Amino acid sequence: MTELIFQGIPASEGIQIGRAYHYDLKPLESAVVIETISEAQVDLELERLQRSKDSVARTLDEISERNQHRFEEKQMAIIKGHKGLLEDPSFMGEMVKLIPKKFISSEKAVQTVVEKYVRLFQGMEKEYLRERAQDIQDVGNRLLEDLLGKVRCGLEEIEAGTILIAHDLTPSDTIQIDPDRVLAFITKIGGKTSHTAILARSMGLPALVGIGKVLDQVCNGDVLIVDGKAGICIIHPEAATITEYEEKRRLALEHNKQLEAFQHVKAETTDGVQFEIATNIGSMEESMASLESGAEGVGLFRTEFMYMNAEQMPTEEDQYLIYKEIVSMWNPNPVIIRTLDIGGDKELPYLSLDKEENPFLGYRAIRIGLHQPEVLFTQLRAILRASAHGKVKIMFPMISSLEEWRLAKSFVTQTAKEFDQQGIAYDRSIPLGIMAEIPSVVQLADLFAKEVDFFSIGTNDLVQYTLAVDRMNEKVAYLYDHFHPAVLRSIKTIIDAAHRHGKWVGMCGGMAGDVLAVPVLVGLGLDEWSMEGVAIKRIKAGITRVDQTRCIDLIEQIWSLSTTEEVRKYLEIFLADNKVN
Amino acid sequence: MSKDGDDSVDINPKSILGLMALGLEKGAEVTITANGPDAEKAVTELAMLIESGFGEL
Repeated sequence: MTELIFQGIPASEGIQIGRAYHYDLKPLESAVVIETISEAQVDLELERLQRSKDSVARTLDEISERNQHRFEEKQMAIIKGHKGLLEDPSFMGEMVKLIPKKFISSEKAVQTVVEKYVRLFQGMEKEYLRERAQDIQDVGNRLLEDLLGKVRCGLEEIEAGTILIAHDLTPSDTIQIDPDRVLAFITKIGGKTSHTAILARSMGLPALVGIGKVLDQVCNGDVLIVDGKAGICIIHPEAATITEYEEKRRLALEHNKQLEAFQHVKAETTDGVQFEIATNIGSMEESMASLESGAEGVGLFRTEFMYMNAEQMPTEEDQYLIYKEIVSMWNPNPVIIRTLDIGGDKELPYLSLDKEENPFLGYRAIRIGLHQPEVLFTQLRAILRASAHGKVKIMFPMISSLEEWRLAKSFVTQTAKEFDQQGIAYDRSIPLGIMAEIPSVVQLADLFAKEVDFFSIGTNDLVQYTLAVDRMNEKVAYLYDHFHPAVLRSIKTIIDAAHRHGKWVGMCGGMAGDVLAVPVLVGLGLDEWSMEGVAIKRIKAGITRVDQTRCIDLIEQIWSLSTTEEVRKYLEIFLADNKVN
Repeated sequence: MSKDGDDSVDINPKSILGLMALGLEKGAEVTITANGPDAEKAVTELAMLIESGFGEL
């Protein structure tokens, strides 16, 4: 086998060498060896089918038993549904009828029935029903594999040392990944800021996304090298390549170790300017994990993952308990809670949102909250109640006009008024801010700055909307870059406007965790930097090695650069001069 | 049992998979056929069950 190198989109740093495993459910079209049988074999085939059915049912029981402690209701329901399918008269029943009628093997019978229903369900209009095709295929595959004597791995039963390959991983797939066994993952679609990529970074797993179909030629068990920083994947590596990457991996780990010394230092430049370093979290687990990350607070609590992992809309009480615990554990450090940011690439099964042509320009985030006020009010009540237990700030996502901001703010005022009447405790000086992620906010930054308490720049969406680049589309991923001069100017506009009005600016997008951006953000005077826990030590190390006056000079030079590439080159040279790596 | 206007899919109503496979939307009409000694009773009872909204309406 010759060594081949493929380029994907770097989504999460790190080097890993491991064995490939395809997670996708594919029809086992080439699996059937014997198709027709003689009349005398009918009973034998029926017996084989029955045995496989029992064996699959047992496997499903084992999976649910083994994962009892980690599976939630939703995951248990999937397994239960698969068992139900095994007992369904239209499923097994039709197979049992086909064998004596057509004199076909069990494998052929399973395949015929599965194909029939998969095709039927795939053609359905309702997405819920279309998705059931995957469940039917899944159970069909289990039956076939059992009949053929193959051993199967699911996401929950993967071997140690695995590099996972998938078409795409939904956030809930990614949550199920066991980091003790999965070394890295590669997806065929997706971009650098898809939520899969964000989760990979927060789990500290190297990941490549948007690599395309090239990996279809990789077989399960093949040795792969993943370099998450360079965004490459090497298949069938030669011995020399493996040695080379083992060395690279060792150096990277060593470098990481050196950086650990910076984990808990103050982020202070050589000329004594201090910056606030915070972290992004999406759950209680992440919150606890990042308490020791060196973060001085939570700059972004993405509440949507709490909604996505629930079976139905979380109640005020559910939310309050989570917010209260997170706010208390960070107290006296602040927690910025972002209100529900759903839509775009994040869906909620119980909040039926229509499929949209342009979901990122559609009904999402604050637009949902303002049109379905009960959703936003419930959340605001829970947040305000939690504000009595520590330092809470509220941030609204996807604000595009002053009207939206004022309306959202009025929701808080109204809730506070009700609390006053009802005698419920809350923080009366709770700061209210907005995400700066839509170009209209950049244009109106001076007007917003008069009214909001703070801005937090969401670079992921700001880049997407400023450059008109769909961040989920791998074909245009090369255009997506936060060092585009237009993006840098937008950031400057926001920071300058805020500072003129005595307001502070944070950043919670991927750029805040990019060490190459350190001199720019130091020079512009970004007040608060919020990033994934793994990036903190590196950014702190970067900040402690630069001088703000020099960064301000650098910024002046950057405004004369006209392309992203020139900006990047310039910054790379600057960082090398300052011994930042 | 099959959906009116589309008899390409004919299912056994004892099967949930079959019922889902009909892809019935709210207000859709179906035809129920049966044979055997209990055929009439079976059809009547199933029709009542459907009209009662499976106890969920």
